[in-house]
Amino acid sequence: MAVPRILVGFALGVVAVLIVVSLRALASPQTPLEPGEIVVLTGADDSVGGQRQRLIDQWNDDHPDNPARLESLSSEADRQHSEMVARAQSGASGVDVYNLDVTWVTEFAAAGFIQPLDGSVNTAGFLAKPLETCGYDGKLWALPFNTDAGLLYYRTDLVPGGAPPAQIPPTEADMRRLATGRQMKAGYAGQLGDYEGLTVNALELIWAAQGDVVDPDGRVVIDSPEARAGLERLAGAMVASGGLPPAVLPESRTYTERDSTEAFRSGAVALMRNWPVAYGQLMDDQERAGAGGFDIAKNFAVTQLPGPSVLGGQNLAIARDTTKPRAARALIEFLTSDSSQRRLFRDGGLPATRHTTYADASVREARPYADILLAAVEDARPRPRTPHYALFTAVFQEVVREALTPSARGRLPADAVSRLTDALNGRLR
Amino acid sequence: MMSDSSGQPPARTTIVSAVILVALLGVATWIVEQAAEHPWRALAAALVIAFVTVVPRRQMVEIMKWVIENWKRIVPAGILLTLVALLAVLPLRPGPVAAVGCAHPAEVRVLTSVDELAATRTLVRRYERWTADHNQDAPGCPTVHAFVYAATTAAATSALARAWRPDGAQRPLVSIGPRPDVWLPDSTVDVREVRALARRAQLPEPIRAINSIGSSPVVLVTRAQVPNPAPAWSRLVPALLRGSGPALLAPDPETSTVGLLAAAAYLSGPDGKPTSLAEARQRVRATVVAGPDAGAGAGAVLCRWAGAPPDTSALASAIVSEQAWLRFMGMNPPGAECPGGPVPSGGISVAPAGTPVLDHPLVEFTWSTAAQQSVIDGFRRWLFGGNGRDAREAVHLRDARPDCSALELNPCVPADLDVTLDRYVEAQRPGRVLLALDTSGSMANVAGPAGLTRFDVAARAVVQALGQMGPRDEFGLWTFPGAGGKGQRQLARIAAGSEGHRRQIGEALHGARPAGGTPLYDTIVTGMRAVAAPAPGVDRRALLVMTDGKDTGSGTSAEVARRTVRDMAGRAGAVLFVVATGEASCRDPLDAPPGGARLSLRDLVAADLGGECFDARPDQLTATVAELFKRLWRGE
Repeated sequence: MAVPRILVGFALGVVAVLIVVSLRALASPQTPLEPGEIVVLTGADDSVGGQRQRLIDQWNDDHPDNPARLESLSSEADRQHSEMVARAQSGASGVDVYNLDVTWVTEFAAAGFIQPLDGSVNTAGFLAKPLETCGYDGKLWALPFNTDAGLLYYRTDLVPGGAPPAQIPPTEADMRRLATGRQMKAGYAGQLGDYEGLTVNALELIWAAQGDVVDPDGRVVIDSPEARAGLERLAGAMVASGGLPPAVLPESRTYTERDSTEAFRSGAVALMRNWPVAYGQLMDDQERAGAGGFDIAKNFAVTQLPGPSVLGGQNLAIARDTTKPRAARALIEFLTSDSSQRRLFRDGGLPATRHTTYADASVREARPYADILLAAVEDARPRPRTPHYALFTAVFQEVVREALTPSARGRLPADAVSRLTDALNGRLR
Repeated sequence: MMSDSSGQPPARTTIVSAVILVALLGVATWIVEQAAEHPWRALAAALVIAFVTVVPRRQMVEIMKWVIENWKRIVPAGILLTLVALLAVLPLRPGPVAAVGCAHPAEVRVLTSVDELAATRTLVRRYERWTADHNQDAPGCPTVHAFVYAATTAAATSALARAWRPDGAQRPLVSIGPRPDVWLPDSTVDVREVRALARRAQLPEPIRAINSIGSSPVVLVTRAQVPNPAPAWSRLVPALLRGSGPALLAPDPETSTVGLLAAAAYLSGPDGKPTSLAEARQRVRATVVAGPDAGAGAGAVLCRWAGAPPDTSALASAIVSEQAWLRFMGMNPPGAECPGGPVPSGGISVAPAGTPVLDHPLVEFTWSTAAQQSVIDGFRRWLFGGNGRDAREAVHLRDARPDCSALELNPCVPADLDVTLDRYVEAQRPGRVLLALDTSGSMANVAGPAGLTRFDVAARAVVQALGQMGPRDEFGLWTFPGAGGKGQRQLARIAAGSEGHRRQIGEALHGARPAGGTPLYDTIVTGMRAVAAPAPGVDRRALLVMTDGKDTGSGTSAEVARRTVRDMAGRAGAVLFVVATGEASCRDPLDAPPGGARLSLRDLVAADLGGECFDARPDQLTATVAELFKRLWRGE
């Protein structure tokens, strides 16, 4: 008997669909987690009380067949980046999950170092700005682990009337008010050392002057009067004038976050730009009130920067060459869950990436600046998004360094725009 | 023939068909389990179930029969179908996304010293540019991204010897940074140290290749008068350190190779060997050591040197590499990168006879993969080619000197650097000094034609005394009398000599006003107990009292003070120095209790146990304090 052709076609169709679906199933994370250790390559855990490790311990208790391990790198972003890229390029990174700075997701995605998350990942509840940094080329490549925004710290015992200046760097009138009857070396300290801190601080100071470096269309626009004014104002602020201390501590040119915290604590400056983690460090100051020491915890407050902050933070992504993508994804979902985010922020001081955390009563009690931080994150702006961010930031730092030399007095190098445009595209001339 | 005459399929065909159907249903069931979140799978399951349900059994068997009969055609078709499906699925796997502009460059991790950070960045940036210029496939795209970072000598050598693996509390990936692909230290002295550490710990040899890329002598940069040609360091240094305050700047020997070679220079005795411990204590305190946290290594040393007042001997000289000096002077204007702007240098550099030479090796490691090694090979070839030579000249490196590149028996560096380092560490063990300044009413008397009071002059001497103490020395400042004319006032507690602590003392002196009596004995008793208090690692302890009169208002006697001084000297090695000025004198008898012995200040200080009393006119106070500290550090 001849089999009706329609039936044969139907049968072949069913078989074809089955094959496709089966192969898709093999590539998707819905089957049980792959057993074995999950290695998370991350910057050092700066949270108060090592909360990241505590979360990992909790995961390990619940998943004895999929234990996770934090492999820690330097807390300096540039140093983390180099090691992560070198590992990813080696093709045998031994890494399952990367904890990437928000500026690296684009680079790692474009270079094929990480794999996209499929559409089944639930992204509801994340803050919009941090979540945006996880996307590239129409796909989701990571989930936000913690976010960050710069804040303005001020010494309540040194700032008259408890109201910080409305502009950073402080104006001459601000400095007159701050310096009266006080022994201070300068008004304000930031992080202008030769590392990512210089990029962050310079961008914020340019934004504060209503300028920009790269516009939303990816064009370099640093050659505007506003951006130039921002850099010139910064260069001028590092020079003492009118019998007043400089508005910006000249030593900031070599400072990292830790150095500026120390200058702020010692009273060398009345104002400081720093990340929220400095709040916990100042509150937990071991030397405070000891043997007649100064109690910084009772003498500072924090508020939003007068202008937008750079959006900081880290995102968790699955390594391309992992053999445990389902386990890696499950771990990422655990670390970015509501309960984990609450713990990281409340107990560790790492700013949360989920809305609900900021409304939590226990969080608000432990982190009284939660509202200020949330507003700062919502107002924050991302750094330029390019697969060549490492080159871009290096060239931008060179440009800023040249502009801040005494002979330049804040003037941009003539070729700044072409150099930065090349760098955005990965070119170096 | 697959069917019998009745038209029924044979039993074997029926069984095979049943098995296939059951398998299909099994797969369908498995898919249904997943179907909730996956519409594609739900569709597949529905199709299977529809197929099994809708097609009559007989036709189903016919289909199976047909499949069995035509398996030779069906299997290749199935394989083809699978390949097509794979092609459909593979794009779901991650892969490089079409990037904007250039391809991702190869990452190279370049470790260097704190002193060489700026120069090394300049060097490798030139290499990156060169790879961009010579990229035929994508002009302008660098093929290498070199990340340059610095570590102190001790941290780098220790981590490299262990192949950058963690060891107990030491985690180089955290404390230093990435595991390097190449290392550009200052000298083969550092390479020798890595090998020695690895050998001692019986670890595999971590170093694959060493090639010197250039050389640079250690030089003295100075505003002082020095003979030309300059004599050897052992003759030059005593002349430079003749004054009372710190005269010399140098990198920290414990963290910098240039600092270690500098220490070999300023701690060298007449025979070229390390000087005595007593002499070393004093020389170490006459030298300001800049650690890596003070800024960017040699550049920070030169900024500080250039920023010192030009009309004094304070910090008139610095020891750095010639390369660092030339880089500093090559800025436009010189010192343009110093915090706060350019600084007038107004000095010269001299290379004393027999000065050490840095040979700047390029070190490669055994752990590099073939791909990494290929990138490193490219860097090395460039470095030793024509373009690399230009780059090396641009960072002020002289040509490599084969005679200065030997790992062992290198004539260009001192042989006994371990002894130098030990001597340095021993010499800078901290002292614990309490300064007690008389602020009784008589200290308000005018001390000289300039209208300065005794207190003003004594306060200057105290500030000058701070310059005699290193950053690790602990010191504090009291004045007497304290509140209500009794006891003492603590203007600064005894603490390590940070800049902040020194500033606090200076500010506290500004606010002090002479008034009241002179509770001298109480101050000596309480002060001696304070300096003798337990303090781990402290080497020398002293109470320095400056007074202009006899005791008034103490609750204790001269005899009790004398006994306390001897007791504390015997127990903790604490000594008492008294500087007597104005109406006070070391020899004059102090008031004696009824029936008691008449003691003098000289009797109180227990000279046989190291104490001493100095008579000084107000105009001699500063010089006297300087001399006193020399004796303290010498242990005389």
